[in-house]
Amino acid sequence: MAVSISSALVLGGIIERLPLWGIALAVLIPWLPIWWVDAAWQTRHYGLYAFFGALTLFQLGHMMEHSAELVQLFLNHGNLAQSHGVFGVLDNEVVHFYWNVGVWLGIGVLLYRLGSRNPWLWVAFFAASIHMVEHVYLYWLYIFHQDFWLAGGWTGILGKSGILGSPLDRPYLHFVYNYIEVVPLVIAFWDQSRHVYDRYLERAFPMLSESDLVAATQQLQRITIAAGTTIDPSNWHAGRSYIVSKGEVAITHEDDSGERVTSALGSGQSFEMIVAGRTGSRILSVRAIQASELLILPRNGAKT
Amino acid sequence: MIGLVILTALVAAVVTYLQVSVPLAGPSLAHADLSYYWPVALIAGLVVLILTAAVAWLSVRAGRGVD
Repeated sequence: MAVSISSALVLGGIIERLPLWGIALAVLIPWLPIWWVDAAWQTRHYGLYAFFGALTLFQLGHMMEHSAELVQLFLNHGNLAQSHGVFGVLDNEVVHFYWNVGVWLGIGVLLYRLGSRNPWLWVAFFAASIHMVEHVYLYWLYIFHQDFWLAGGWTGILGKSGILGSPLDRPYLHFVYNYIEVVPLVIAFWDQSRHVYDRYLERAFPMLSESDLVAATQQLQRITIAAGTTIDPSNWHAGRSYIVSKGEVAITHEDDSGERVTSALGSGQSFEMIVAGRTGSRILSVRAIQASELLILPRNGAKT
Repeated sequence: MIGLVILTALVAAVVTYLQVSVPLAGPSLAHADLSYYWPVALIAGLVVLILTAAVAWLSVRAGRGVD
C-alpha cells in the first residue's frame, strides 16, 4: 500500500512540477507510519538496538544528502549556490551543527552501552568526534562572527583555505567526514545484529545464556490475539512455548487430578503446550484479557 | 573487508576526481586572515577531546562492569 501511495504521490509531484525535495518528501511520507510502528515494536522487543537502527538509517539518509550535493556540484560545474542536496533548506550551519551533535551523542550512548564488544562503534565515535570539532568551530563563527564566516571562514579547519587546510574543498571534505563516520556505523550495526535477542524471551527464560537467547530469538514467531478472544489451543503444536510480549492472557489449565485453574499471564511470562503422553498441567483454553501478542518458541528452540 | 577496501578506493577516486575537475568558486580569506580565530578552533578541539575522553572512559568502565 505504501508503494502505491508513494508512486501516486511521485506521479502527482512530477505532474505538478514540484521541486526535488517535494518529490522526495512524497516518496518518504507514506513510509513514515510504517517505520514508526516498526521502530516502536523493535524498541519494545530489542531495546537500544532499535535506536541503533534508527540512528544508522538517519545517518545513511544524511550520507545520501551529501552524495546528492556532490552530484549537483558535478552537474552545476561547481556552483555551490545551486548545489545544496535534495532538501536544500536544511543545508545550513545550524542544522549541520545540531544534527552532528545528535549523532555524536547518539553514538556515545551506544558506545557506553554496547561498545565493549563492538570495535567498529569506537571507530565511528572517533570519526564523529573529529567531524564534531569542525562543526563546533563552524557554528561558533556562524553565530558570533558571521562576517568572517561569510568572507571565507565557512571553509572551517581542514577545508581548503581553512585554518589547517587540506586539498579538499568543504563539500568534498564533509562528504569524506560522513563516509568515515557512516561506514563504521553500518558495520557496527551489522555486528550488533548478531548479538540481539528479544527482551521478553530473556524475561521468560532468565536462565538462558546470551548465545542461547540470540539463537532462540531467530526462531521466534509472533501471533496477535484480539481482546476477549478465546482460543482452543488443542490444535496448537505440543512442545512449543508461548511468551506473552504484550497485553494479558488468561490460561485455564487442568492438572493430573482434574482440577481446573485459571491464571493470568502478563508480559514476559510464558506457558508451554504439553507433549502428548507427558504428565503435567494441560492447557484447556487461552483467552486474551487485553489485545495481546504472543511469541512462539518452537520445541527445542531454547536449550533449557 | 575486501568490499570495504574497494568501496573506500572508489569513494577516494570519485572525491579526487571531483576536487581536481570541479573546483568550487566561493569566497576565501586572505592567507593572513585564515587563522584569525584559531583560539576558537583550539577551544572546539579541547571541548570535544575532553568529552570524547569522558565517554571513552565511561564506556571502558561500563564494559568492565565497574558501574
